[in-house]
Amino acid sequence: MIKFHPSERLLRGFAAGELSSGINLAVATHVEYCQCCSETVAAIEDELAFDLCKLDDEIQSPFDDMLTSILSASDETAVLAKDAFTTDKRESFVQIDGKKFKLPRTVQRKMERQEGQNWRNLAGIHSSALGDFDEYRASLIYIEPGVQVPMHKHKSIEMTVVLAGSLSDEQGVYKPGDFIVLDNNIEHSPKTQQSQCCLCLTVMDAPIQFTQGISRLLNPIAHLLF
Amino acid sequence: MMGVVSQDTKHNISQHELAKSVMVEPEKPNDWSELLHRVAMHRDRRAYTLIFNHFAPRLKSFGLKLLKQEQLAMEMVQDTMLNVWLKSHLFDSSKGAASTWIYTIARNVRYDMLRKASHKKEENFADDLWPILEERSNNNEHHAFTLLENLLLQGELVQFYPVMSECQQIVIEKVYLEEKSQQEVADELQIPLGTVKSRIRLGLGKMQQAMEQDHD
Repeated sequence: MIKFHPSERLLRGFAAGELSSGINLAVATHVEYCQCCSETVAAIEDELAFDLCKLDDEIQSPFDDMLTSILSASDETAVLAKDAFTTDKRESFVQIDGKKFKLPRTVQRKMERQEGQNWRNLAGIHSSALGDFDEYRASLIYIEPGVQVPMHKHKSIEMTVVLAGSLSDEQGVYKPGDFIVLDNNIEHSPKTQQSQCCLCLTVMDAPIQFTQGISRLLNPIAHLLF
Repeated sequence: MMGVVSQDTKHNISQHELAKSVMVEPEKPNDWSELLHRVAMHRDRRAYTLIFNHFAPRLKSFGLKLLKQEQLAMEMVQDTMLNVWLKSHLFDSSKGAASTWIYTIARNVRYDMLRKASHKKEENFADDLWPILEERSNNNEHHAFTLLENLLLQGELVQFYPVMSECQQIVIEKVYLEEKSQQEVADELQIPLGTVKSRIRLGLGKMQQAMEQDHD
């Protein structure tokens, strides 16, 4: 059973599509694993759709051309769209330390796009960068069995979603799907059991802070978390 | 009867009724589902027009809030409503309201537009985060098992293999351990692709059940 979930505020931001990209990735991954949060998100989406229907609709006229152009998209296009996804799909796996894992959909394509998987190993902790997402950096972390993760600090926040295996710290034992948020006030030293490895997705603030661009349009993170 | 859909006739609006009706918007969420269903089944332009006339202006207001520019908002509306027209067959009324489906498409389109506008190199596409427009066969059943599949790959489910039929075991072994594509497995065993898919789904389902019982 999944015990650690994102706050309702985060789920709300996720359903509204207003979270910063890195946080979105972590929340989406949890939601993919967690039936209960996925239902909560669906309920919030219902509310948001209801709000959408209440918006004013004064601006009618300029839409005639659009309607015509959409309706002229031929039925053949629709059939093509229908068939586009029925291609033969191979499961995609990631291999590390002699083990094989299937990744959640949220990171699958990102991993496939990478030319070879660049795993770096430091004292039993392997990491493979997935890229920068707004002011966050996402990585897959594989921790060998019986390893204690050294303390590390970030400017503000680190989010972890356990994908396989298990991890434990002073707060408890984390199983696949569990969503762990740490801010800079919390110190912890996660470790794996002697016989159990752990694969997780981590999203943390990158050393460089982005202050420009579209991210300022998105909700401030601090506001969403507390 | 004046409206296309009155309170008591949400099912099976006949072509005839539609033809003589005036353009009146549905009053209940279910009615949008019915219209969307007509678009999916019959490429019904009149039904689509009703949906379009209701949602397009509202989507524009929705888009303007974050996209700010009129032109971008209109692009979002066009993209969203084109998806509604072309992919209405993916709407599943058992999973939720039609208005919610349309909202989620718009949210995804807007998200990708915001990402594009930010000129970041990252590739965090809305489709990866919110799988709204995936074909059904590829959707839930494909992804719901990730947790189980990982236990399987670590060899932790061996004790549950007997709950599967032998032919399910064979297919699952080939896909997960030998990493063959479903089509390759179908060719090798000379069975239809659909059979491979259902054997995987049923086999994983049985193991999931066995594992849950074991935990209880």
